[in-house]
Amino acid sequence: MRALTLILLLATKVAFSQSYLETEYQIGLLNSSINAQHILDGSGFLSNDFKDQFINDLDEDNYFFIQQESGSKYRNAKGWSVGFKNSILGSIQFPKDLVELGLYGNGQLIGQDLSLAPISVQVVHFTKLFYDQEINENLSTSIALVVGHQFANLDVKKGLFNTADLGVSVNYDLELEAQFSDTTNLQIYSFNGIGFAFGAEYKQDIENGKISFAINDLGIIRWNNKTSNLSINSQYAFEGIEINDIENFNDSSITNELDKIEEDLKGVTVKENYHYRLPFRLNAKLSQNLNNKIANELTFGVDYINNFYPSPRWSLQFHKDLKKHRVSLGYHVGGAEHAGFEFAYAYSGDVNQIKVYTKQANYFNPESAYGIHFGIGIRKILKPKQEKKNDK
Amino acid sequence: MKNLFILVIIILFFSCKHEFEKPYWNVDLTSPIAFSIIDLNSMSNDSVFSIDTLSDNSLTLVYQNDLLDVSIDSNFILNAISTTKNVKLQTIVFPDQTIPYQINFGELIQSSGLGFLFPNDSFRIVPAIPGVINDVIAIDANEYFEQMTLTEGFIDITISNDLPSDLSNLVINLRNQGETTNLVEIILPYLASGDVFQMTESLSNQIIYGDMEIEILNADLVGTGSTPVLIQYQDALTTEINIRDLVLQQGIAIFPSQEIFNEDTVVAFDIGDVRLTKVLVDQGGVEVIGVSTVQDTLKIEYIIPNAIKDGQMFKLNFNLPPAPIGESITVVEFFDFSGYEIDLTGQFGDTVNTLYTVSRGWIDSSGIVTEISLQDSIFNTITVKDIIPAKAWGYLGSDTISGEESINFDFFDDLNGSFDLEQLEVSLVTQNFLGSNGQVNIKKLEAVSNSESVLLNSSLINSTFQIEAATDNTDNTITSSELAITFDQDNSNIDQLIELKPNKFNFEYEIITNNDVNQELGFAYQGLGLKSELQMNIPVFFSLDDITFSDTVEVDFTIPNDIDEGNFILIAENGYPLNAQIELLMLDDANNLLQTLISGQEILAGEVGQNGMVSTPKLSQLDIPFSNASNLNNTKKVGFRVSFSTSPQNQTIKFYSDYSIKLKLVGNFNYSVEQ
Repeated sequence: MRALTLILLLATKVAFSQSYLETEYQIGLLNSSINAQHILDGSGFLSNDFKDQFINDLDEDNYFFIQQESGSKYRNAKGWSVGFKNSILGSIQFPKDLVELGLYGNGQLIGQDLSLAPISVQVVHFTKLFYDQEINENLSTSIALVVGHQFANLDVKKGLFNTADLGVSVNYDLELEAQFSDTTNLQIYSFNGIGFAFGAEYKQDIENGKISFAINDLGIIRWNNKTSNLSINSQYAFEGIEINDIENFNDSSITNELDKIEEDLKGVTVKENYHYRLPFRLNAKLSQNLNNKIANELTFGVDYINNFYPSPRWSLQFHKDLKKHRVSLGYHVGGAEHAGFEFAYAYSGDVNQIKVYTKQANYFNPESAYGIHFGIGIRKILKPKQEKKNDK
Repeated sequence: MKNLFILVIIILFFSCKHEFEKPYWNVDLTSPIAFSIIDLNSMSNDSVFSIDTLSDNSLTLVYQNDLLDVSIDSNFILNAISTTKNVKLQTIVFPDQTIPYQINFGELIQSSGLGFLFPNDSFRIVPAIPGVINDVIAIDANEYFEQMTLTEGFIDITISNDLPSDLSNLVINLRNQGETTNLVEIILPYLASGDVFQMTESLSNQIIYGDMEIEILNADLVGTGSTPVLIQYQDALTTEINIRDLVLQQGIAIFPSQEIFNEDTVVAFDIGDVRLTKVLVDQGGVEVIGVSTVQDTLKIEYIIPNAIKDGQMFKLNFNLPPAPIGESITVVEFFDFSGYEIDLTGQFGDTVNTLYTVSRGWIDSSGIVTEISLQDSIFNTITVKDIIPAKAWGYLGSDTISGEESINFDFFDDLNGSFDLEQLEVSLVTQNFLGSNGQVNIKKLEAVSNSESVLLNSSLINSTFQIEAATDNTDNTITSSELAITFDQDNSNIDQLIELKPNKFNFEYEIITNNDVNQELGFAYQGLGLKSELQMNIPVFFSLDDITFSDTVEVDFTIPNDIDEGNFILIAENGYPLNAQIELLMLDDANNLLQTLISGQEILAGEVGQNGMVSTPKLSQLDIPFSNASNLNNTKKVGFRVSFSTSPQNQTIKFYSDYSIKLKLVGNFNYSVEQ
């Protein structure tokens, strides 16, 4: 009996959830080291003062993060939903030494051993067709078919560069691997791989609040056999062109030397299938109701995108509700971006709901603006027929 | 609320509008450009100069230049010689022909109808039978001729009576078939059994045909009286007609196989005082020209018994095909003689320059009846073409070769300043490839530098030096003999000639080949005679005082436009005991000065230890600034002037083979990076 009651209660809970259509879009370019003031000052000729300041502001390892995601979903009142989501994710990691070399040239770094690794570049573009199912009011799972469009990985494991004293030799030691999908078909939604992904979310009400844990995009893409796998392992010490006969020296000798280097850097390329692990996402939140005039609720969260976030992204948000409006202001650290404020506004109407948000809300101060981000979500509640009749 | 939101967005957009230029910046780039390791050994690729290493590892500069290359090949060209044969038909002898005829006793008895009375192998008395033979018998000689008009000839008729009985009143006529005139008439009153009758008739001016006939007008069988005799049917009356010693005027006959000519010939080559016993032919051959009107094949065989190749003597066989009727035929053929070794000592090995030949010509009867005429003739010329020997043996003759040569010498062209040589050797090295002795005499050696000249003074000048004969090896190679006449500071003033820094040497000489007239066993190979070269050995052991070397090198390089200014650094690690003051000039196509790159900078000498050898190379850094990159692009030539001085000064220094100078050019540029 008790079990039956529980089932009925559950069924009632599920039966009374709303159906809706939802669309979301977000785009962002974030980084850990370069702020808007740097960009404003980096107009025209870059003076040595600017270069010095810029280099000084960089970390030993620096990150860029690019994100564009869009998707739509239909959620049924019975607890299941279907939808699609297109994701473009990119990350770049580079060392300070690389920027120093690019800005100053090796002429001012004579005798120094520069480590130009690790450098990594990752870009992936895929579309997910998913099906979510609420198991119960706490747990839901999802399963998705993933279509891979493009991807590229570059991982420089070793990149040593040195200019000897007096410039008598220039040496490098390079070891890198790269994989990238077929480049012959340049259509943005080309079909280059297929895979699957799983997800799950658990949420629960706690005293004066809620907690939730989620894992998404746990899966792989199998890229087709036109995927290139390149490896380069090259060491070179350039000591100048050897001249045996001064009378026959001209710049074709230089061209020949450059051709040798180019040949050496071609590496080994193999075309074959490639299994790519999707960047799974972890998310955890803890919300607590606040009873004060400034904020109604506090949310403490952590996000992590595997292979794209060098570290988890921690955030703390304060929410203020005004009737159907909610304004949220938060602060984050970690992830692939510099610490900063974030902001969100949401309107929750009976039928239409909208949310706009940004992960970088530091635009008021260029020195603390380390990227741009914008997101918007629109939800339309779908009323059942009976309710509509009642409304009339 | 909504309107407020829109207003905020608009304000933010316009307030954030900022004048933004593409960023650009300068970078300093440093890179090695070129390097080179220079040692004196790397200069040894020159065909004229080379560097040798002595036993103590010090260096010696070697200069060598060819002076003379004389050969005496022209002495041995064997002129062409020809032999001609002209043969007419009237000298041809037609072979004797014998035509037999026979009638036996059996045939006679049977024809008389008495055969049954006289069986074979019986004894019977043979009765007298008058007119036992009366017949015309055809004689077919077409096998040999159809018709002959004879200038001369004889016909022999032999009648042998082997019948068992005597014969009487024989009347026999021989004539051409169908004619009434008899060639021969025989009236024989009596021919006993066992007797032979012979007669000869002349056939001069007669015409005989292949179809003849013998008419036996009468022959009486005398009988054996009362004496029985053995009757044997095979006993016969035999008539033999022999036609001989024919000399044709013309005829239609099978041309007989017969030799037309067969003779040995000895010809001598006229080659002055050269007395050759043997030559190996490099070029040459035998040409045969044959002309014939004979309507049958003429064959010529030409043999040079003393010309051998691969164990075989030289033999040519030449065919003249039958001439067309009423016409002649001409054939020319050439037989290559190259590779043959010819013994020129004649048939009996007792002469020189002599070629012994055997020639034979014959008509090889085809067996076909053809027209023959007294007008027919055969003409042939056999010519041994100019023979150029690859090798020659014998007495080579004596030659005096004298002359004056000038050799240009450009080593010091770009050198100013002075130097003092500690040691020096200049040699005139002569190689003799001839199998005969010779003599060499240097009459003069002079060094010339612009308006100055220095003559060599030495007791070796105008002295005659003997040079031995070369050796002819069994593997057909020659080991030359060598004579070196060496001038050094002990026997001459040769150092003054070199210290003049000459641009030319004048050289007068006399060479006598084969001065020994009794040297009969000499040899010469084609193209090889006597070669002389000038050799100079200068141990790199000297002191230099500001000796300047200058040169201009053509260059072609392009500097990218993004490079604004910078400098080159020339880093020199000098392992030589030489200070070098360097000047580098950038010149355009017309040799106009664009920029002086280096002036007054010095590469320091390596440190010389107490043993006189460089112990520690010296590092020098020369700064070469440039502020105008376009000058570099316009530079088509780089002129450089280097002044060397040995260090320590005023001290003679040896140079060793392991000395080197390492040069490296490093570029430092200011480069503009623009997006």
